[in-house]
Amino acid sequence: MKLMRKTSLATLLGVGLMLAAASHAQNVQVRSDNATQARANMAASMKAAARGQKVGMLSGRANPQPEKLADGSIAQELDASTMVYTVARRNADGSIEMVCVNGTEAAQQALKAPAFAKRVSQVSKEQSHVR
Amino acid sequence: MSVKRLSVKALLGAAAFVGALAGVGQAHAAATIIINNINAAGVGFNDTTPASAVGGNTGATLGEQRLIAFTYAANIWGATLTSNQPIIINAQFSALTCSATSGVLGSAGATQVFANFANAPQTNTWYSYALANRISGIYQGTANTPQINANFNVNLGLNANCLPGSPFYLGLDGNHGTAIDFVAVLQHEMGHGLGFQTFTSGTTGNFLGTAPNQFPAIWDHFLFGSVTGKLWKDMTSAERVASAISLDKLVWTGANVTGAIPSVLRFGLAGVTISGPAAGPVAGTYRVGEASFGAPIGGTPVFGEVMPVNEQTAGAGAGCEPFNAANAAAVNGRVALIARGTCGFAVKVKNAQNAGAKAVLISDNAVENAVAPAGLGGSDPTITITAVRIFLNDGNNLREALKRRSRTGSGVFASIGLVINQYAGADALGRAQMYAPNPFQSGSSVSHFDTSMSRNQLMEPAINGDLTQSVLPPQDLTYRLFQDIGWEVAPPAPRLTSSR
Repeated sequence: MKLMRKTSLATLLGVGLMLAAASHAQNVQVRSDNATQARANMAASMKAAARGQKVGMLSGRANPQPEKLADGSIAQELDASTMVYTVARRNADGSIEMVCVNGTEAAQQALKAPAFAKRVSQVSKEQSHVR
Repeated sequence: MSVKRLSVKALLGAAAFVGALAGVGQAHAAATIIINNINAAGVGFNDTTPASAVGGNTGATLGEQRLIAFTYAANIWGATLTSNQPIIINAQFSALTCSATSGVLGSAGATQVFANFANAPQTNTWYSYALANRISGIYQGTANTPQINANFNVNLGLNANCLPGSPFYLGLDGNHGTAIDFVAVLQHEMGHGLGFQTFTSGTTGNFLGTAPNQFPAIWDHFLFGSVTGKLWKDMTSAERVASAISLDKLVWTGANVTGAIPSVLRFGLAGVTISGPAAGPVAGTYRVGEASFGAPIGGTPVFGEVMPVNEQTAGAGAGCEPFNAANAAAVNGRVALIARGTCGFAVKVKNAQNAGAKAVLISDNAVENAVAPAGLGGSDPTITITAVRIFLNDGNNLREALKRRSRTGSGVFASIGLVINQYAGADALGRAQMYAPNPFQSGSSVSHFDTSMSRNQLMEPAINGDLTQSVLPPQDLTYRLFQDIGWEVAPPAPRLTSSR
């Protein structure tokens, strides 16, 4: 795990020793690049998806189309309508059930649905109907 | 580039927990995941509200704890997948739709898909961004472009208008109690972002893109409809729409998933066999839905005479009150048949248990268009007997047979156990079933394993409370599916140039 911070060399060495003990699992870095623009584009894409419109999650462009690249590959920017949403609801007995759906519209429908799933798993603590 | 600051205490806590990941990942797997925190100062991952350590998460602030939990979930994937290109995730907390009783917890997805890149196993086929990078060994498009966007509800459980009392549990140990396990939600959402989804519409059947660049997803090369005998990539749009609601007729044909099923899924489907001198035409074997409480169905069937439970106070619901003498005499030492409704399943079963019943059949009160009945939700650790749900029609037929009963006997017997020799969540040929409910459920279909799987799987459409954080057999099939779609292919030597 690569968690970076600004601190003293001694502290860094100490932390480094701790992390070295788990070096085989050091697979994550944390950054904060182009945050303002990324936040704006994500918000625009999600608002558009709520209105049934497509705005690219990365570029903020309306109705992104497939694009042929110099190496012959083809790229298709996605919009927030292709995102997967996890929705939760509280049942009458206080239990929480969750379901995963594709797209903003589906998430809104799930929030209003009387029940999430017709078929549920056998040992679910959250998802099953409880009454 | 700015760098997120974390306390030493938080770092040490996280370091202690990543050690546990060694047993979670593949032996020599290595993929670097970069969490790009796009929250503004003081918000989300940068929230400075002091926080107490929870479940191994020793972050000193709410923001730190969120980031440590996110890092922990990402590390599970990073320790499992192999790629010579970093996987970059744009992540933030923000205000999402919410009310006192329901809310969006979060959303995630790939930002781009690619086709016809170097080393692509299938031509004219969309691959998610991270997978395309992994297969080609080249950062597709513009280098360092985020491949996954992830967004989580900043208000969850923290105010009266957003599921109050049910915040994200930020511990790393899965002991979430009544809170919502953030790590489990993250693992699931990241799974979709990494490629566990089709980009083909289940409602229109249309492939993603526009002609001449309208292609199936790699997912569609493995999704097989046993009604038409075709893979999704070969179906017409109309056939795909029908396949998406074909219940148990949609399966995954990838060899890695199929090969792992015997080590992950339970062999045997739960059912009830009705017999006895008074059973008449209802005699036979039926599928049942299993309960999340009480004794699980296992190798030894529960056998007993069936007796119905009558409603005691008008409108109170059958089985919802402590049993009176008549109901208690009927079910003592027998299998209670109780109609669904009015109160929770666990309440009914507990009352039956207190009256001496050895098992409970809950007959549904609504028609369900499914292969097997839904399960029985709820929880009560004091319940020790077995309970199952049966279809409305089966319950009605059973009650008809019970009309000739005495007060303490019916001549109709039930045996509840594993009655069908098939893996739970696989078809008769041993292929994993994918979620295809009818009616189509707002996009939750096709890109998930079916809910009939036992044990529960990370990538079912609901996030179950008994997940283990492992994505590998013998706990989980998710990584095996990733192998099928291309994460297994040996990565080529690193190349750092951009193709755009």
